[in-house]
Amino acid sequence: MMALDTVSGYFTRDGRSYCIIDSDREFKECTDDIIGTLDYSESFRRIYSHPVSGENVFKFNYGPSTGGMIETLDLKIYTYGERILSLDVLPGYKQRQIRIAGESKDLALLRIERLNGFHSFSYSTLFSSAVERMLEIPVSQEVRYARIILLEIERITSHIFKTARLCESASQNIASYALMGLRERLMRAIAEGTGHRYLFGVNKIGGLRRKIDLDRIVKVARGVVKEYVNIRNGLFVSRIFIDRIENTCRAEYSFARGPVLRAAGIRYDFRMHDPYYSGIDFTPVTQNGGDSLSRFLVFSEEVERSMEIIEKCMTPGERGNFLIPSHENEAYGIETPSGDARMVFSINNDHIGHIYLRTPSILNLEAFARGIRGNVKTDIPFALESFGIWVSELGDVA
Amino acid sequence: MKLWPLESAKKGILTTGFPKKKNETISPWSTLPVRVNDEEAYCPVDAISDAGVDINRCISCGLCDNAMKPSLETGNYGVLRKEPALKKSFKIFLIDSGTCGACNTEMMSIANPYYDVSRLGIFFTNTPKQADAVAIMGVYTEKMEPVIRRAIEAMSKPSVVILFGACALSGGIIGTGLKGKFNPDLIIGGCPPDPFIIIEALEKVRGR
Repeated sequence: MMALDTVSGYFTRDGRSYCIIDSDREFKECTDDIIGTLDYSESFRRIYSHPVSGENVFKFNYGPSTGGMIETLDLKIYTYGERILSLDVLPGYKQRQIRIAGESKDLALLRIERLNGFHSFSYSTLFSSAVERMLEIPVSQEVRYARIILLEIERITSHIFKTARLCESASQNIASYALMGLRERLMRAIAEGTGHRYLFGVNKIGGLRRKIDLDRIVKVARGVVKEYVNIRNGLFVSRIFIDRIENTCRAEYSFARGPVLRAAGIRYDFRMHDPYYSGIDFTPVTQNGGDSLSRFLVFSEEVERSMEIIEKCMTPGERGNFLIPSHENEAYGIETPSGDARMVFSINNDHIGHIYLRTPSILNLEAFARGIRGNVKTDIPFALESFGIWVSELGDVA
Repeated sequence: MKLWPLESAKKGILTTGFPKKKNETISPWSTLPVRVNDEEAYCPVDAISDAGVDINRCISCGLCDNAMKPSLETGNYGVLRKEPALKKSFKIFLIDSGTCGACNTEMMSIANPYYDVSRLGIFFTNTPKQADAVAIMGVYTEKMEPVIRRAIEAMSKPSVVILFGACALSGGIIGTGLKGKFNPDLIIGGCPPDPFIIIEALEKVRGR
């Protein structure tokens, strides 16, 4: 139950400090002293510094722009050879300033969905549904279930991508290409069914902007998931693959988010608390190893679970409108494919007021920086992939 | 034991015949919109004028759909200088200046089995020293400017500079673009650009 008491967000407003706790839907006032006792509090300020010194220890630079990594990220590795003694992560090279406060709701939505293009639908749903709840704008059950289906489709494409990258890093190139092919198949179906491969412009406040061909997307998704399971089963019998990822980058931290947390045996998934998912029978997937293999297993099983959720939502049986009013001081949340994101904001005269957004990568990057200690440098790319970290999510949202 | 090559062979050939054959599909709103009526079209980035849609600005949001529809054409790019010396082999180094991640993964998509650009002599490289082109993605960020400059200088000549996606071209809806900072030989529009658009643009810039 440790994770349920984890402080997973921290912000200041008008000279006061507030924190978000996993077990609570509302943010609470707190003191800086309490936050200071958390050994991961620096990550809320995007500082990931873990210097070490010793005989023959030197800093090896990896990044900011180099092969093997998808996004710009600078790593300073403390080492005396191949083994990583410690690591500083400098995510600030591509730090974007994403201005939301003072903007209209519609413009803010366009910016929010470009916070992380890979998980854009998760963020646009988080924002849209929060505005709808604040302003008590009901959406139809049809829209609610369509959003859940698209959220799960986004999770499937994201998990397939991460699995493919893991395979590539572990020299399983045929499996990696096969998985990338599966992802492409699903992306094409998403484009044909929604008008955009990354689901940009699909959400709007109060519903969906376009007519979505869910039948077409889900039909392709069924085939993709079936093939994905077949590839995964093939990988399980590869001793080389298992050896490569087993015991790599073990991370058992209660502050970690999403699949990283669940791979360490902690049963926390924001979908359990999300009113959007109320009435949908759902059990989080967990593993106990905390290593890259466990995260791979969580990704794989979650792909199947997502498909099960989609099937339930295709025949929901509920009609009418859906609206769950906001709590006072609510920290809105959503389970993105990389873990839960929490958001606090206000609306003043139809414009967005102060906003605070804690994305899963903010905390998972700290878990990565700790977990990689003791591993070798060549482990970095697939350890990073298995954490589902997106540097774009670390930008300044204000 | 799984026989990977056998499993792959069973699937047949997935790879497109593009650009010799027509593209099988395209992400509709990543193509430039065209007018369908005279209604006033709303555009959050002022990309629409009487002259048409500005490929530098369009963020593929589809908010203009009351008056516009996607063209479904692959011409969402501009070649400013061709480099025919790179016709046979073209190695690209990717630089992320400040993206949301979509441009990065979309660019990488052109290597997946459905597009397999190695058949066209296009490859990705891990260092600018071995590159024939740098593809710069995302909005302007101060700390990345010197990194990008060093990458461009490190390339052996002849080489090509590509500005990739609406953020790099104009800043999109997030920030400032890179056009005033670097002189591109090729611009590719879209948010993010579709893989078929990317492939056609890369073919054209090297005179194929």
